[in-house]
Amino acid sequence: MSHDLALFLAKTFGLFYLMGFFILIVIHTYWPTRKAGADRAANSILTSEDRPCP
Amino acid sequence: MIAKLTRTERHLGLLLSICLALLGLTMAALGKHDPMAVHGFIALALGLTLVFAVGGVLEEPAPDPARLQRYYDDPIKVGIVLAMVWGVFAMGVGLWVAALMVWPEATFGQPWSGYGRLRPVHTTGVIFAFGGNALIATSFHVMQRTCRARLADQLSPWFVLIGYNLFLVWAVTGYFMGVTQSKEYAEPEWYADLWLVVVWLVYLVLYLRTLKRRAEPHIYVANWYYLAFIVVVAMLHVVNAAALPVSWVGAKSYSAFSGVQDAMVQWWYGHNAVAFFMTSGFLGMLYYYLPVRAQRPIFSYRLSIISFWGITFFYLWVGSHHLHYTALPTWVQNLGMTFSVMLLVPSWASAGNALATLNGAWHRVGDDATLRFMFVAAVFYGLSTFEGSFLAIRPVNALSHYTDWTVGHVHSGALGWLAMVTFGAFYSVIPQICGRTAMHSARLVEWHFWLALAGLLTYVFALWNAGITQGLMWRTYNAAGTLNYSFIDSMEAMRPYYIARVIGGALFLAGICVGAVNIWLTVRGARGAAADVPLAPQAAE
Repeated sequence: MSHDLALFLAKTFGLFYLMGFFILIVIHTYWPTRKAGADRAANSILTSEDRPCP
Repeated sequence: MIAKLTRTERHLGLLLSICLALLGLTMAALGKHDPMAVHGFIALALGLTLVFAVGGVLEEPAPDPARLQRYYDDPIKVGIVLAMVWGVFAMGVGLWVAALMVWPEATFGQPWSGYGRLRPVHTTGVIFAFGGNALIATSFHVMQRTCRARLADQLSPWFVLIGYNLFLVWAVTGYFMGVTQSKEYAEPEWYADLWLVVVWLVYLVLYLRTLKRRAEPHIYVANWYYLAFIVVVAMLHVVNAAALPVSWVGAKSYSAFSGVQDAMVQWWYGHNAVAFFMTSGFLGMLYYYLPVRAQRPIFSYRLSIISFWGITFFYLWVGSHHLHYTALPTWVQNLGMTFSVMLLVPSWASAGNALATLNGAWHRVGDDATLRFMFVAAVFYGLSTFEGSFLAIRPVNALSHYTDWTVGHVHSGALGWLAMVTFGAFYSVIPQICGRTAMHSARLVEWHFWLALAGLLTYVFALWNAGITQGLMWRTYNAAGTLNYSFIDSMEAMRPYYIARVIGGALFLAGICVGAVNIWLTVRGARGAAADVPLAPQAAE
């Protein structure tokens, strides 16, 4: 790979895949139906079991 | 402890110990007068010790099956004690190195005690030995508790812990003997590097096997950070450590890279060691222990996920900011600078998320020194990531580079963020896994906190002042257009700051010594096992 090609890829594909990835992650994470799951996950570490489940 | 292993695990453990002893013997025999032979003898001694330790209980009765209904906390306990021992040692060496700046004759004329050998002992000791053992130990705790599942087996955690510490002993003793690859934060030679790859793969497999057994449907975000730490460090290590040994029976090797490519690979590794060894795993600690200790869920779980992807994707590109104004192409420098500035967003999202979690629990921060450690850690995480983004801007770097500002920045991160969150995590874990409600002495935790904070502030203010003064002195011109100060003038101006640094370091070291004693007394006074138990069904023998 030549230096010019590396530079070209960094300025085109490198830029857009990161921006696209960022947008996808934000949409996926903040999708309204996912709120309940996130709250449940956040609270999951606050309760500890002191006996095995039956 | 060894008798708690199953008979199969004991037999396997014995086999592994014999293999280690044989490996050591081979290295010692082939290495002849090379430092590699010394490392062979160290491995041989460790292998033989383990052979006798495991062999002594080999045919003891099988352990109680009820253990499977509990978490496996023994390796966590040992890992934390090892971290504290390494911490005291490495911070002690750090204090010595700081003292050399004021009293350069304090090497006592020995080759092993020169600055160039002591410095990597300090950096490896604090980052990889103190930090690494802390990360491994707390990851064993976090993965079990968040998955509500026991560790996948009892042997591989010991392989990871003992194997990793053998790597550290090889590294540190090597530096004293002058063995180094001359790569910053990656000084150990080729055979130690290969050994670390084996240990790391076992660590990754153990983590994934434990996750697979989880009783929680969702993998809690702390695990994501720990896994990023394990996976990316493996990738960095394998690429950066690529080298050709001069011979298979000697320590010396040459890097696979040269010139500016070598510099770029070095700092791609070096800054990502900061990102994935020194940030990612510690964020895992923060996201688990801070909410648990504050008894409040993380302020925004979803923000923690955005931060995760931001940190993971941005950090990998910032290494070139270490090479501003060098032969590296300008566009690569610009790339590193831009990503460093962008990195502030996910970093501050994490720091803000942690501080917002404490909002409403400030009375706990006031009352509980353990939580206060984590509060200070979050503040210094925010401060040092801001500073890092700022220093990465090329014109700012023109002032700061080669000055003690960089050293101050590293220590505000390492002491203020990493060490503080580690102590907070240790003081949360240790009583729990020792079956106690609190540490041996709450007063000693307070003492540790205030000593650490005083040491930290003294240290970083001294070096901020030192660095900016140095940077300005080196660029002050007189009317004739020549430099106003000679280099030695700037050295002399540093003396008061370097003395302040020694005092700050001594205070921080005193703090960790108090902490080590307190942790040891708590572990010695253990009252059975942890009260909480796993939820996941355990396989029968």
